Amino acid sequence: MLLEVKQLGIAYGRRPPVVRDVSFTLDAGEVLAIVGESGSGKTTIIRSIMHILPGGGHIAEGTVFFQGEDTRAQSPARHRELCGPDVAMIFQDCGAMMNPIRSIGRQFRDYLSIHGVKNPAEAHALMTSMLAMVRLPDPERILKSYPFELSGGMRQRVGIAFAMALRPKLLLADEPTSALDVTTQAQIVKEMMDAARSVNTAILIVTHNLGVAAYMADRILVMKDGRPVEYGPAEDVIYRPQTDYTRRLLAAVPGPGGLS
Amino acid sequence: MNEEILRMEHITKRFPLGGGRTLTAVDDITFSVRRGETLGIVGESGSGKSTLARILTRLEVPTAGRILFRGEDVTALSGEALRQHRRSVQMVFQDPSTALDPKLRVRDILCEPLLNFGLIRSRDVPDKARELLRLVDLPEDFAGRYPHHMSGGQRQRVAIARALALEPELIILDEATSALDVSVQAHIIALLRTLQQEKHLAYLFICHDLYLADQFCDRILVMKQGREVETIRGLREAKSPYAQKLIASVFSVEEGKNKILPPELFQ
Repeated sequence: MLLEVKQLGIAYGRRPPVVRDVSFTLDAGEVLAIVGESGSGKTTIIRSIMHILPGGGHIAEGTVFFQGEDTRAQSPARHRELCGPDVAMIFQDCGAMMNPIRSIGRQFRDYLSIHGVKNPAEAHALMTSMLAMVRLPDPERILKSYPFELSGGMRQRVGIAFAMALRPKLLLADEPTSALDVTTQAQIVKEMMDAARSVNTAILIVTHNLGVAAYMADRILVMKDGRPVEYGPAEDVIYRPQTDYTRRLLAAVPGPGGLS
Repeated sequence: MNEEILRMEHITKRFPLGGGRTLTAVDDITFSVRRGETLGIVGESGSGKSTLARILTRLEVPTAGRILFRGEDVTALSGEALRQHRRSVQMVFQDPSTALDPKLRVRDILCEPLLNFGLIRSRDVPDKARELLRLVDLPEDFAGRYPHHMSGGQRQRVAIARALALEPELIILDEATSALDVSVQAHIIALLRTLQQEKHLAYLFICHDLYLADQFCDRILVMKQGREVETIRGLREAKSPYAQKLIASVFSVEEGKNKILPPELFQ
């Protein structure tokens, strides 16, 4: 088992947990989607796995095991070692996570170099092949560009190229296509899936888009107000929902059936 | 057939890019909206949807073309005449957390337009605010709240109530439900429908969710890079390859994993 989350509870400071009783597992190559409305705690879960909870946020209950290792017991140095080659993350706005005054190439090179790809020719070949894989035209030009020179869709692709470059075992994606046009969303979802399948990467995606979740996920976890509502195979959750909440959520999605 | 209240004729907007180059954000767009009708505008980013809305509210002046409102040419209005025109055309924005003044209480947000136009006096504010809150199904005691003490859906209801305050004939909804959860979105859409029937409002519904536009709009104008691709009464009527590509790109719950994406996206 790659990732095992058991009875996870997350709190800020000394206050009572905002997320509670969350359990799920993820095997190599599997896709799990966490869905729910704003405030349901989906982003908080993914951030707790990546150790990037803001201001005083911490795992207050339960355990998170990654490759059999208790992540709470990890030193910061050990965690940094894993970030990149083992766990990588795609944010909703990857552009905002980049350094605005350094070229894409410079940032990409630094990232690879920190994780051991130090040979310039090897790094260059890896960067251009990754950018080509996410269908960015003219990778050489992209490497010379600064983040502000690229569109939102292009920056998301660069983010995926960064995240997938070291063939991570687990990819965490927080609303990776929510800010994009439907056409760009379709391309990026497919690129993410293809990239992950080619190296058997597991994906944990947080999305409020139930259509995207239905397309990508093997299993779906539905969250509401910090608690799990439903968890199971995607087909069951989407086509045979067990709770009123999931049914209401599905019914509210405008679709070709004209649901409302 | 209802009376036509808005007519945009051959509207073009060019922005200078420097170095003598220009960007044509809106290119020869013509459409009309009738009383009580909802016209949707869909298209990818950069298609000119929002520029069109800004021209309509006269936040931008078109480079060419005419805007007729109730038959009157408002393209070149200025000063007091423009101010009066804006009473009839109100706008609801995508993000209610930035569209409402964080330092004002709800009652002052709602009544500021009325006070500006001298339509009510300060002592009428509490009553008028309660009346407007009732219109959008919010509790009357919300009048004393600040925007940050409300959820996104509640804030968007306040933004709609503010747009209604001046009793406009046309409301521009610029991605007005895009930032909301689907369940909240469904409630806001139901509210907009009720208000439209009661007040005979016309809506211009700018939206990137094709299926939502399909459900909510009488007609949909599909735009691409500033140009009209086609105007349809529903997605089923879409003939243009562009509109069909947009429709085929949407992941739906119904299709799930069986979704086949348009191959031209990956060429």
